[in-house]
Amino acid sequence: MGALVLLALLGCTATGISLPAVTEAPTGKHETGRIVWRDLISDKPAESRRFYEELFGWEFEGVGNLFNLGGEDAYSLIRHNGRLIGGMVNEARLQNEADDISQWVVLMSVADVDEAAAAFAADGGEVLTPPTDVADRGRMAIVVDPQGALLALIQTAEGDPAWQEPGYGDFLWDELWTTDLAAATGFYRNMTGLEEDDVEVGEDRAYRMLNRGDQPTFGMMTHPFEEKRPVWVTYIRVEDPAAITARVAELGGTVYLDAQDRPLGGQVALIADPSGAGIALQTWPFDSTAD
Amino acid sequence: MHKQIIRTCRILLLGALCLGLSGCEDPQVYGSVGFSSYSGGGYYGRGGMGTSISIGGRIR
Repeated sequence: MGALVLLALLGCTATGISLPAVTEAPTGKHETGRIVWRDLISDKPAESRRFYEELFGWEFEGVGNLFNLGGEDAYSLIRHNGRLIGGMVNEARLQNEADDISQWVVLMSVADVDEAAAAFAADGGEVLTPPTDVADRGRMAIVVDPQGALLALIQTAEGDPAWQEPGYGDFLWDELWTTDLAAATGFYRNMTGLEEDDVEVGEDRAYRMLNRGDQPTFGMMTHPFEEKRPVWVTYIRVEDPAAITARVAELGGTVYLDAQDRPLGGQVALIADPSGAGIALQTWPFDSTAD
Repeated sequence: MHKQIIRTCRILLLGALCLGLSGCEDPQVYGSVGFSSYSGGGYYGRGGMGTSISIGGRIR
């Protein structure tokens, strides 16, 4: 009987929550407020995988068994041109009572996730998963900001990835769509120590960025869709958004917003993968001839 | 009576063992997520939004 108890304890120790690191070349630094990783929660992992493989040339590698997550397809690493860029969680492997939680989740770097999660709760946010050790990845918490946007906080184990100019098919930018821009600005400014900077992007319209010095870290804007939940939106750099949106339906996705010109130049579009997770597309830089 | 207690304890321990192992298997850091930011049939369904909605994107 004693052996059974010991086995149970050893089993838990050996198969505790574990996720791979966010980079294979950590800098040793924690840049609070920077989005350093994105995880896709998908209820249709096979379809999602094909969608991103076909549209952006991403490569998926099931590592669920390697990290004792209960099956090879429980978690997949996503690479682009051989470089780690994100992960995919198989929603079916989660013990979750909700019907569908498919979505992209951004992971925001913090120097101390325990302090950051406590500050989130103290300032009106909600902590869904308290700070939890996730082995090579570091220590994570899942939180909801005071307006209702979901994100994860991460204290990376060995430091954040180095900044790198994104190529086609790489993550380009992250932006919060919120229902109370002023309140959200104060909340994230206090939490991250970043400074706000409003840039005029058209008549009577400004775009808010939170920067660390001269380094833009993420954007914020009033939610463009009425009566929708606040959300963090990730942008992928593409050469031709219209060429991507033309293939979305055949791959099981949805086009929310066709390719449109931006006031400052370039184009954007908004799509969803077969799981319903939304993601934006953008040309970069504005002048494509500058590539 | 004594044997019955031992048998019950064994069953309970076996159950705890199974629960323990299954509870450790999944990446439960995301198990607490209870909603999708994109739920409700998408924003406006299929077919695109024309040009009435403007989104953001990287500036610098």
